[in-house]
Amino acid sequence: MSGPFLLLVVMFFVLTLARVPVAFAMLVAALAYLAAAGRDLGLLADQVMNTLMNNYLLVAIPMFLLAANLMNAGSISDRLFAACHVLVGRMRGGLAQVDVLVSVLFASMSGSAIADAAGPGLVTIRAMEKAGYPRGFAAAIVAASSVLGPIIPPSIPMVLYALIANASVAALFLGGVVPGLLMAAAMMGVVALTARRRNFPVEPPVPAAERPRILARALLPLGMPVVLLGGIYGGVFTPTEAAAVAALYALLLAGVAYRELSLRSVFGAFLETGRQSAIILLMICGAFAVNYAVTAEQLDKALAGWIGGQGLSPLGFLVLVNLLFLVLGCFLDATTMLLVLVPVLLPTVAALGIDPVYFGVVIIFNITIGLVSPPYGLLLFVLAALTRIPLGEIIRESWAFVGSMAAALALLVVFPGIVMWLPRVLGYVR
Amino acid sequence: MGPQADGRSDGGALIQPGSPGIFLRRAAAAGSALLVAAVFIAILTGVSRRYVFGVPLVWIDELSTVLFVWSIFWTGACVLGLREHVSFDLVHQALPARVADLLWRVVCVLVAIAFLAALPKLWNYIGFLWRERTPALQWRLDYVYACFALFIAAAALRFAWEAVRRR
Repeated sequence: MSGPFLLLVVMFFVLTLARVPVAFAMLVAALAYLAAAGRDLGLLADQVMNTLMNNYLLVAIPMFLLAANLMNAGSISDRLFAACHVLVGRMRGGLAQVDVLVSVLFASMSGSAIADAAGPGLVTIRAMEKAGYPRGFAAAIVAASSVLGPIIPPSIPMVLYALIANASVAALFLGGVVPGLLMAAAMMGVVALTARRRNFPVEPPVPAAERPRILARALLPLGMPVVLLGGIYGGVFTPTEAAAVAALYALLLAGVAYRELSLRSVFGAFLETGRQSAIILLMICGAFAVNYAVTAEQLDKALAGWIGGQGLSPLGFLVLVNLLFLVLGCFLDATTMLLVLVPVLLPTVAALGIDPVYFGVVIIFNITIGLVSPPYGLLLFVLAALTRIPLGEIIRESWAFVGSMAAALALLVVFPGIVMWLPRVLGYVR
Repeated sequence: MGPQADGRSDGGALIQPGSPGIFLRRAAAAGSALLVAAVFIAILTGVSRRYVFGVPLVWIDELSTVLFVWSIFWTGACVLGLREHVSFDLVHQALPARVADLLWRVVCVLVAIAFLAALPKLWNYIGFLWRERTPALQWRLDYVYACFALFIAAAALRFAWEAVRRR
């Protein structure tokens, strides 16, 4: 590792620890690298702008966020909640089970964990607090189930991975389906055990006569994943177009069919989308700036050569990388890990003959665990800030869920078929 | 990855209600929302022209990309406060308040200097692109890329202001 690159690493960590936003810390670290390596600082503009301009796929990110924000603004989350309430409310710890099921449905329309936590998640937390659940548990299950958002398609992290690994978005999306359902099952299992042990409440039954009406009210929103994924797999739309059409569907559904949108709330949804996508995209810009240095130093090739020399098996490599990422995920931000660390590993993945789609799904599954693992779990912070539930209480209740997710991850590593079965059956990978 | 969804931002304290500052902030926010809406409409126009009218528009992907890139840097420069970004504040919170504040100011000066120092070089690089044009729309590339330099300039100002402002 050269002197300038070492400077980059030190700058990044010093600035981040001093609370400088990760996006800016990466930009400054990249500038420091360029200066120390005697290169033109103007290369920063070259690297950032060319990457943004040449990747139309990135435009899918604001459109996915827009679809989720319009659904949240237009009571679509409430309808999903009511329908799931009918389905699993009668189980012990019913509201927590409802939350997991809502997250599965919401995840099939949104690709972001934050949108899930801030939308349907908040609805569930309020209901659970009212029903007498410990508030730390309520926030913990919502945080945990929100990570289904980026695993069950569509998924913003998978779009990013597709870009850096040059893999197929369609294949990655399919690869996330079974692991997502597996993770949901693991969470429902933890909820069932906890609910029995701690005697959580059961929801009062919904009168049988009302059930069909409530379920029917959730049918139209479920058309959205059909439009979104059907459009992509039918070859009708590019992922970016599919995301925009999904947003249009949400807009028409909430605004015309349900009449739940005011001009003000539509404006709010667009503004919130602008903010969220700028936050994410600026981090992506920072990561691409840092990647310039990684590529210039040929760190990725050096690592591939080194690991090749160690005689590590593909399974050994996967176990090692997953353990490393679980630990790093406790301290590093998910986007940074995905966009800076994963590209370094990709040549090794290719050299070991690991399928890039499989690796992508596993690593994204791993990184999303970092969103809820203490001390630096972004979803825990967001929920603590939104609900004013003390972070300590949420963290105490989070461990069981983090443990069950890590167990599910271990299954994916040992049985690659869990990821690859669906894309293979549908002919997206060999 | 994502925002603190309660929409809190810093710097609000220095703007009195009814001052021109409020108006500017609302205008900046409206600009951000409009750019997102423009991207949305551009993509849908492309889709409908292809399927409904059977005439694909070759330049529509490029237009939506340019609008998208501008929306990012416009929002980053004029709408988002520093505290809305993803940052790691456990160390900051663990330090005694005065030490944390001093450290934050020093770091803000450093970041502001780094961005200011880079600005002429970035400007030069972007200015050099004047003879290149985008492939489909034939827009001058220096105009399209200028938003990045403006964003870096705004970031330098924000960090410099953070370093000196009273709390």
